[in-house]
Amino acid sequence: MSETRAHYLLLASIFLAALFYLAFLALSPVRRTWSVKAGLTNALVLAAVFAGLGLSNITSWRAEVLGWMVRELPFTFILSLVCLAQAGLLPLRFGASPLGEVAKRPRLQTVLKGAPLVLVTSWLLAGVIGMIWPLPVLQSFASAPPHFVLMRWTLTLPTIFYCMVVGWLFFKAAGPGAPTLRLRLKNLLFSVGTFAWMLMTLNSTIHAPVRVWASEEVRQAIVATQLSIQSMLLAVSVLAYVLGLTLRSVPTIDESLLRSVYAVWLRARDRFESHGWHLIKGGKVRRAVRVSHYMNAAAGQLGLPEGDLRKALKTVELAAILKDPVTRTKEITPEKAMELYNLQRVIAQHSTLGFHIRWEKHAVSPCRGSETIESDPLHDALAAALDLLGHSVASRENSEIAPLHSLWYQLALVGATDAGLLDENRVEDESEHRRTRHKALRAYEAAKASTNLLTVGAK
Amino acid sequence: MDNFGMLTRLLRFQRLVAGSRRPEDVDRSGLLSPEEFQAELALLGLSGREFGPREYAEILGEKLGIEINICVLPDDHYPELTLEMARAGKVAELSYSEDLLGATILVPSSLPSIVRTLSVYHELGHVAAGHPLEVWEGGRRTNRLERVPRRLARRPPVEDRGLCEQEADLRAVYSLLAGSLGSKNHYAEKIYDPL
Repeated sequence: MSETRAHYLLLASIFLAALFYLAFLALSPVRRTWSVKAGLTNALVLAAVFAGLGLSNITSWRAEVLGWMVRELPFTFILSLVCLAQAGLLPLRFGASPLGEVAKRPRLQTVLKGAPLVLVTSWLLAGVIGMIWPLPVLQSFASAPPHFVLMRWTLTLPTIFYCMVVGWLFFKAAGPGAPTLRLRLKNLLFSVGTFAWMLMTLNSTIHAPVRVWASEEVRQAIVATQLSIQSMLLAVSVLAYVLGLTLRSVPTIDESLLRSVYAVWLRARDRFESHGWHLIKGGKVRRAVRVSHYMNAAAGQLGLPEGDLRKALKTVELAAILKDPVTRTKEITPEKAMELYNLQRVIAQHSTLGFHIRWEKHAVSPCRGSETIESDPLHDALAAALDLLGHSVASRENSEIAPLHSLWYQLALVGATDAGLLDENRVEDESEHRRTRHKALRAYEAAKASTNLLTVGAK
Repeated sequence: MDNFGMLTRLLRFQRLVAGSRRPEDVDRSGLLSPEEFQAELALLGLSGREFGPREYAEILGEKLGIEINICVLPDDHYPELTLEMARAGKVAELSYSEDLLGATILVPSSLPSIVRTLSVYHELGHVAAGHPLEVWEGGRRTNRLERVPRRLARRPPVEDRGLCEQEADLRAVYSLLAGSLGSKNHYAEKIYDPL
């Protein structure tokens, strides 16, 4: 067996090993990603092609050119796929993002987008040159005519260019900007694999002039070394890619939560609260605005924390909007309020995720505090307002009724009753919360009396 | 018939190569996807970082070469303006300078904090998308639209007002989520994971 054929069988065995490993990876449904499937297909094709070249005895030069084209096609295909994946334009990955570095450079995205066209055209052109002027392209040690350089370089130079771009982009993506160590390592492995591929192609580029112009002895020595280097670089490249594919990145936050629950919740909340603001600032719920002054003063007397006061005020606002048929819009109804409350509960249950969603608390204050679902008064206020209006939010599995009978809730109840939103009997009931309620009522009445005294004579 | 079939297949292939998405992944109106928005954030250097509306506005303004001001109007100082906005069903207002090199976003201070944040992002979304401006003459709205010369978005801006508002709403939600989650954002991770 010739040295060249032995070399092909060695390369076939490398792809066969990769094939078995990738097949093992693909057994697990979570690891059966598009890239593992593409790698598996390519390893299968390349193992078959190299085994075929190693075992067959091709005598015709045109058949050799054809064999060479078949051998190069999977490499061209996979490099094109990687380029498109980096550009975020891969048909197999619908809606994928480009690599961060590519997103910053629109021209680079165009260059990557052009890879399939450039590489396939180069491959075809090289094949056409070989078919017009046949040559012993697969006989690594044989001397070759000068147009062998043209044929070989037509494909290798664009391949080197794209390998350089892809390898550099993977290297940049392995930098400290990457969100996880796993992603950094994964991209570093892909970078190593691509640069090994580039060196392999560079080796192949140097191989052409050696076969054309080097003397017999020199050629034999150089080509033998080149074949060893080629096998080694291919092994490094395949190993790096296969290891990279093994490192599957698990997202910190589930995409479906972001796409559905969070987005729906934010939109629902925005609609609900902005409509509420329109009604209040548009002067359609004046009675709630009036009692808010008394509640503010009462909270001062009761020593109510700011957070609790905000909940109480919000409760009265919501009760006023939900109670008054004049202010009813399709965006603010008890049903919508209940939906929003339940949505908020889902978000709050994913506490680790819900905790991350934050927005600016202060409008004009220089301190840049932020509000989260936990610190925000709306959730408790919604429960309180619905409860006051007789739409109970408490369920068997939900024991959130307890905070509703705290001091802020009682103050809200007193304020809502004074605004005419509730039946006065609600204040007089003899429930277990009577003492807290009377405390809130006394403070409220005192606040109201003092405010009235201050505004005597005003119209 | 054969030629037509071939053309259809070619167009389908072109759409595949151009990276169009499955129908279920696309917003019904074909508006901005979270992946596209993340690519815009990468362009601004904000992908994987936590940020607020002011930081987004500052970097967006630098990128587009315009000055973006966010003015929070204290209700005590401008009660009529707040009342007028509330009655008009508005929560924020975006206006450009005549040379289109300055944009101002007005929001009342009394807005609930989450609505204020989303409203500012909504208006910034119009700027980033390069949505056309409604032309006013003599204090009255005309039906004419004026194109904005600079935008961050790759895709050409939609002209329909309803779609513009929908896209700005989407951008507001994406911005709040991306700015809150920072490096934990799924889409910020995906931008480092092409294979």
